[in-house]
Amino acid sequence: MRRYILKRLLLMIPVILGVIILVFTLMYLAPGDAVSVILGSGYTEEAAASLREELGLNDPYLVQLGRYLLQLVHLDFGDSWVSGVPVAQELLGRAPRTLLLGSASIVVTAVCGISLGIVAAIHQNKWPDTVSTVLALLGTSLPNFFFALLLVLVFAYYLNWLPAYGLGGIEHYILPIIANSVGGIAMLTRQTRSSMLEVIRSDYITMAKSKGLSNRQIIFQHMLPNAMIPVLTTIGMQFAGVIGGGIIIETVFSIPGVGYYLVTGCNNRDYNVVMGCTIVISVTFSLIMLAVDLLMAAIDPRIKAQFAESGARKRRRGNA
Amino acid sequence: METKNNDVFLSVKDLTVEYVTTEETVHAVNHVSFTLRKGRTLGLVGETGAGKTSIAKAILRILPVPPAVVPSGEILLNGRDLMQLSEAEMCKVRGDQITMIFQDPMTALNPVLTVGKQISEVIALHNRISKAEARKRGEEMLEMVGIPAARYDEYPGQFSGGMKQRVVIAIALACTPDLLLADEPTTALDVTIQAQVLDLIRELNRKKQTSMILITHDMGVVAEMCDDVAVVYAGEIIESGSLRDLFQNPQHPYTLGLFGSIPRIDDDSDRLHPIDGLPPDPANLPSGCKFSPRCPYATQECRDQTVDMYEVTSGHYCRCLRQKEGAK
Repeated sequence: MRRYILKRLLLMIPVILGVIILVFTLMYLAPGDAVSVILGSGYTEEAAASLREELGLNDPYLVQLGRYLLQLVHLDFGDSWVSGVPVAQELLGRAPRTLLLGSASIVVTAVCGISLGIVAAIHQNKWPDTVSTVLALLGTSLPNFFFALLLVLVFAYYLNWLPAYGLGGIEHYILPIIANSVGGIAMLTRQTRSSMLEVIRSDYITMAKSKGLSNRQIIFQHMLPNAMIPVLTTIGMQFAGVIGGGIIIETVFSIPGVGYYLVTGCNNRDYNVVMGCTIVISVTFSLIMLAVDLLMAAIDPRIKAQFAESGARKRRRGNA
Repeated sequence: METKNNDVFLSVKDLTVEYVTTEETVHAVNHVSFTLRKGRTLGLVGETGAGKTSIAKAILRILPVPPAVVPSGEILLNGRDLMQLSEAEMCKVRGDQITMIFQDPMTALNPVLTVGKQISEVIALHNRISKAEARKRGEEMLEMVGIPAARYDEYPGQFSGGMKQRVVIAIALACTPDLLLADEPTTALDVTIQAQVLDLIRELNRKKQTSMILITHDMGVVAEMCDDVAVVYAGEIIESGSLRDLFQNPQHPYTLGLFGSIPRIDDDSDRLHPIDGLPPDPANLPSGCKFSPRCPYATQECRDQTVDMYEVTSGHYCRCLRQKEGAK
C-alpha cells in the first residue's frame, strides 16, 4: 500500500510539470504586454524598455520558462503586476475560503446526492424516483450562476433571510454552498441510482436476502459498498468541479477566494496571478484524485489485490 | 401419500409464480404441488427455464418483486404457512430454517466483503452469540468444507470457482437448516469438484437430518442423490415418484424423452436422440397438455383438455392422458 501511494505521488510530478509548462506557454503566447499593465497609461518608451529588461521579458522562451520553474521550486509565484503583492501570499490568505466553500459543497453534494440516489433506486419507477429524476434534470440543466442569482433573488432580496454577498459569518456561505452543490447533487443522484440498480439485481443481493438479513442491513452492508465504487469516482470529479465552479460562485457572491482572484487576474491581464491560481487549482485537483483512488482501493479489495500482487511479484523477482 | 401426512415436513400446494410486465405475463410456475418428508431429498428435474429456480425462490420468498407475483400457493413448513408470515418473521426463517445454495458461485458472493464475514454474518444473525464466537464458528464452517481457516479474511476474488461454491455451501449450512434448497449446486463446477461437493452435501445431509430439494438437469446427479424425483416441464410437475419409479418405470413421454436423450457409452448409434422441438414460450403457453406440441403420442384431445395428475402406482404420479388410457 505504501509503495502504491509513493508511486502515485511520484506520478504526480510529470502531471504537474506538464500543467505548469502548458500554462506558462499559453501565457507567453497570449497577447498583451506586462509593461503596459504595470506602468499604466502614459509611460515613456525608455521606461518601458528598461522595465522589460528588468523583468527579463526580452529573454528567449526557454530561459523565461526555466526561470519561472526555479521560482516555483522556492514556492515563489512572482508578484502581482497590478498590486505588487506576492501571489503566494495572496493565495495563502484566500485558499482557506475556497477550500471551505469547496469542501462544504462536496459534503452537501455527497450527502444529498447519495441519499436521493438510494431512495430513487429502492423505489424504482415509483413517485420518489420520478420526483428525484425531475429534480436531477432541473439541477443539471440550470447553470450554477443562474441558480445562484435565483437564490439571491429569493432568499436575500425578497425574503431577506440571508446576505447576498461578501464575507462574514457562516450565514454568508449558505447560499454559495447551495448554489455550488446543486449541479453535483443532480449528477450524483443519477449516478448513485444507476449503480444501486445494477447492484440490486445481482445474485449476491438475492443471496444476502436468503440469509435472512433485513432490507436495511442489505442496503447498508451489502449494496452500498459495491454501489459506492463508481459513485466515489464521480464525487472526486465533482470535488474538482466545485473548486472550478467556485470560480463563478465566488464571483457571483463576491467571496475573495482563489477563484475570484483568478477572475480578477484574467480581467487585469495579471499573468503571474493567473498562472499561480491555475497551478494551485491543478495541484489540488491531482491531490483529490489521488485521495479518491486510495479510498477506492480501501473499499474495493479487487483494486487492492492488484497492487498488492504487483508488489509481491516485484519482491519475488528481487529475491530470485 | 395423504395417509403419511404426519411425517410430511414441507408441503407445497397449488404454487403459481408469474412475472408480470407491461408487455407480457410469463407463467413460470403453474399450480405446482408436492410434499417432502423429513430427511429426504427431492430432485426437481427439468430443462433450463422450466421454472425450477422460481419454485425454490418462491419457497424462500426471495423472488424479485416486481416483476414476480405469486397469485396462489400455500407453502407449509411443519404446518406453518410461509406465505402468511410477515416479512420480519420470514427473515427469521431464511438462513436459519431454510437456506439456499445458489447456482452460480461466481456471482453469489459479495465481492467487497471477506469470505469469513459472509459466513459469520448469517451465524451472528440467527444466534445470540458474540462476534468472536461467530468468527470461531465461521472458521469451523470453512474447515468443514475443506478450506483452511487461515483464508477467513480473504475476499471472494482470491478464491477459485470450486472454493467459492464451497463457501456458498458453508453459508447455506452454517445454521444447520431444516430444509436446504440446492439450486444446481454442481453445474458451474468441473467434474472432479462436482463429486467432492456432492459428497460434502450428502454427508452433511446425513449428519444433520436435513431435508433437501435438489434442482438439477443432470440425471446422473439425481440418481446419486435423490430419494424422490419430480419432473418439471413448462412450470408444471408432469411426473413424480420415487427415484426407482422414475428411473425404472418412467411413464410420461417427456420423461421418456429425457432418458432417451442421454447418450450411452455402449450404444452404437452415430446421432444423439434429442426431444424434438423446443420448450414452449412461458409467456404463451399452449392450451391443454403443455408438452403436446412436442409429443409423438399427442391427439386432438391432448391439445384441448387440461390434464390432471393421475396416480399410476402408489406414490407414482403422471400428467398424461395417453398414459392414463394405456393404463386402463
